[in-house]
Amino acid sequence: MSVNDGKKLLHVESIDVSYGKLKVIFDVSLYIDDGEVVVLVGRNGAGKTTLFRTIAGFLKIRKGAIRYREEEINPYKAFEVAQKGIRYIHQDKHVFSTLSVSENLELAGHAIGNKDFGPVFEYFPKIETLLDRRAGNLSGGERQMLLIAMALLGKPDLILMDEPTEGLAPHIITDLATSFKKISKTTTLFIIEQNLPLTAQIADRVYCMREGGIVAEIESKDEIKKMSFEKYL
Amino acid sequence: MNLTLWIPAIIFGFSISGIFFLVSLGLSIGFGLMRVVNLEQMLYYTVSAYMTYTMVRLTGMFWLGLLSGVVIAGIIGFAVETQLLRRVYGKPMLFTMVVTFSFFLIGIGAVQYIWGLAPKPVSSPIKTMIGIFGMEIPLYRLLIIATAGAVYVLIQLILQKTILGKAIRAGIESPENLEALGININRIFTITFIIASGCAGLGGALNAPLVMVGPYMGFDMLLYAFITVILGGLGSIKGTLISALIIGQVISVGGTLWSPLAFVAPFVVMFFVILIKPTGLYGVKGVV
Amino acid sequence: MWKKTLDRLGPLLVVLLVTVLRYLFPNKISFFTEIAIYTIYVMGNNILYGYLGLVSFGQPFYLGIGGYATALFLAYVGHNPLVALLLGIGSGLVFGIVLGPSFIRLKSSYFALINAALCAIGVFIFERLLIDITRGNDGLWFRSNMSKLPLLDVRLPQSFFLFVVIVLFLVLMIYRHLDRSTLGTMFRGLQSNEEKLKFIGYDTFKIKWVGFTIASCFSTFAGSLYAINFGFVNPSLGENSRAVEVIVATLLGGSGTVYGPFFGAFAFLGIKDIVSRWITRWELVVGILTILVLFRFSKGIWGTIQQYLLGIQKRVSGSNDIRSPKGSRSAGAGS
Repeated sequence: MSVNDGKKLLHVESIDVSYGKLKVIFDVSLYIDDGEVVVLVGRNGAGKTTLFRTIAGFLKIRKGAIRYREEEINPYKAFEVAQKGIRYIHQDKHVFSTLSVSENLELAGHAIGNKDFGPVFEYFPKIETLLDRRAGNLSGGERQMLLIAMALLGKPDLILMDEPTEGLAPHIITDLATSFKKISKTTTLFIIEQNLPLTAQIADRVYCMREGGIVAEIESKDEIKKMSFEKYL
Repeated sequence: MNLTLWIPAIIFGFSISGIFFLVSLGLSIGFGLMRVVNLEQMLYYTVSAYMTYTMVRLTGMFWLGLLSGVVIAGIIGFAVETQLLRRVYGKPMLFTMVVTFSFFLIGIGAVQYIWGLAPKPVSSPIKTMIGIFGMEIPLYRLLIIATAGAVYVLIQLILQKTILGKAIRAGIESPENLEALGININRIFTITFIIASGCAGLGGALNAPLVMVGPYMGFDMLLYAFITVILGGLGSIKGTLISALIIGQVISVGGTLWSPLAFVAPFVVMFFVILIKPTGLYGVKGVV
Repeated sequence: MWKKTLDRLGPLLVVLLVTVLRYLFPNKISFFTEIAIYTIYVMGNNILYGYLGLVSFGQPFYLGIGGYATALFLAYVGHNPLVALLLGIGSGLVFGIVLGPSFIRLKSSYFALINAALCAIGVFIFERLLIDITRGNDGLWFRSNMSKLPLLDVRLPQSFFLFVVIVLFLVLMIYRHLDRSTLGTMFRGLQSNEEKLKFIGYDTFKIKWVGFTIASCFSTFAGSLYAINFGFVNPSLGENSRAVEVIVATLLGGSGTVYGPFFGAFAFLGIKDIVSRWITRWELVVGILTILVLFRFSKGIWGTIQQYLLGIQKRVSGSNDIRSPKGSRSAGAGS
């Protein structure tokens, strides 16, 4: 594991996480720098979602520390973590289906008092045309766009995305990949992804997770392009 | 058809519906939002009725009693939510139900200590009768209907128009996703709970002149609240209203037809609905 | 090895304990009779709460049904108490089979509420609807109609105590067998992972139905025994406000265990007996007791004893072929 003493955006330091007595994350360490796109790969059950939920404040660590801008954040509640600038997009693509799209956006910006939807419409112009639609009637791709737009409304420094492309059609995934590139200019992204070609396309760095631990970190762009992380899955 | 019999029966039915709606609201929304069957709601109903009694005794002012009843119900609700319920969120339904029911029992015991066992009468603040189609109807009954209707409209306005209401609707769908947006879900829970407890209190104060105020009045009402939320479906405010309307009429009109029906018919209706639709008319799906 | 022996002798030890205590405190005979009956009642609730993971706020209903089945038979039809008891069990069987399919389809919250509602209907039926035959709140008296059994005269408290103790022994044997059987394992499986059980190919609906019916039989049987013990019944046997008592007794003893109900009944009735000398506001005590047990003592008495015994055995034998204690699945322990 590379040690870098420069100021990290996020620094996870040898954490353990358990569900009751069942330990699911073992001594995991990783870091995210400002402006990076980091992808976390690994099989189902490797502990990826648990790791994200822990960073987002929904689960508490048994040992170690999670530092965000040098501050220990795990003791905070999940909503406080979100207010500090880490937005987490759940895997289930859950938009508030009985609310309209604009109501969803309104709730997303409420915590930091952001009512200006303009900037996010620049990333996703389509959302602007759907404002009065019930969010439950959106397609899978539209939902994912709305969720990212909602995350952006919190003006976060870091967005955690849990399998954003799961179950989406190939052309929508291509669109999303383009959006990720655009968003990453202003916001750091930490993404769980099963789609390896997409990972190779967007990642600056890749972490591989297996059985609750980080088994590899790949920094070299060439190695990422060659999808050499595949062997750790 | 004998109008002199039926019109008062239907209006009485609506006033019963009004009370049922107010007291069942907390049970239903507590389930929808917090996934808790908070059986201690009927304690707020009971305490508020007693507060009304006490204030009427002390000052002679019913409306002051009603106000203090609602306020005290809200305060107890606040204390219970922050001190007790917060410890049981996320626990199995089994566990939370037993906890809240036990707390309800403790409350009944406390009420007995404070006000004693003997039932207390509260006289109706408005004795005016109003003529409708030549029938004399107590104005107070109409007032209950109007109040309950106003509460429903107000709640719908809050849910549709305010950010709090939107957060509540979102929280009913998924509390965790709401929290991920940086919204303090606990605060939403607390505010919602205070409103619901206040409504139960309002129901208790309004019902005080119509029944005897006694330590076990909450038990009797709990039963009807059960029927109302089971029939309407736990978690749905609209369902609670519609079911309260049905039950009120079944009791009043049924009782006019044959008096034992007033007691038995609501159960029969509930059993049949549950048989056909196990989550009630508008129940929130996919939850225990 | 000695643990296995202890396990086999369990029912006998329980019964001996009650009998010895009854002769040590001869003037408390009615108390010990009630413990035996209440144990059976708690056992019924324990099947629902501890094994199936369902909470019912309407258990007194089944008590009332059993009581009235027995009382009506003895008051109007026959004289044989044994037949009356069988009728009590039979009434539970009928209600379990009839109500089961519609009840167990419900989610746990609806299940709890609908049982509470049922309980209220029960009281209404006993108290008012059938007042002509149940005599309402005056109660239905039938002691003088009971005939003497060949060996025991159940009309006398002393011999009824012996009768109940023998019954308790048999019931405990059945209960222990049930716990160890495939059915018992399936009940527990239901609570921990219903989906998996379905996946393996079990009809969980039927399992629940059977469990519900057995629970119902235990409760009505207890009701019948109550009726014969008192020689009369009145609607308060099925009263709603006492619904939580059997739950606290279940929790107190250790839910989901074979001997938990006995310890729960003993402890609960003991506390009630002592406390009610000073405090008349019984609800207050029951409520506080329940909350304390739920938050601080979730394993219950028997669960705690089991854990203790297990600890000793581990230290003595050092082997690891020990079955996990059955008391660990109490409600409070889940998440």
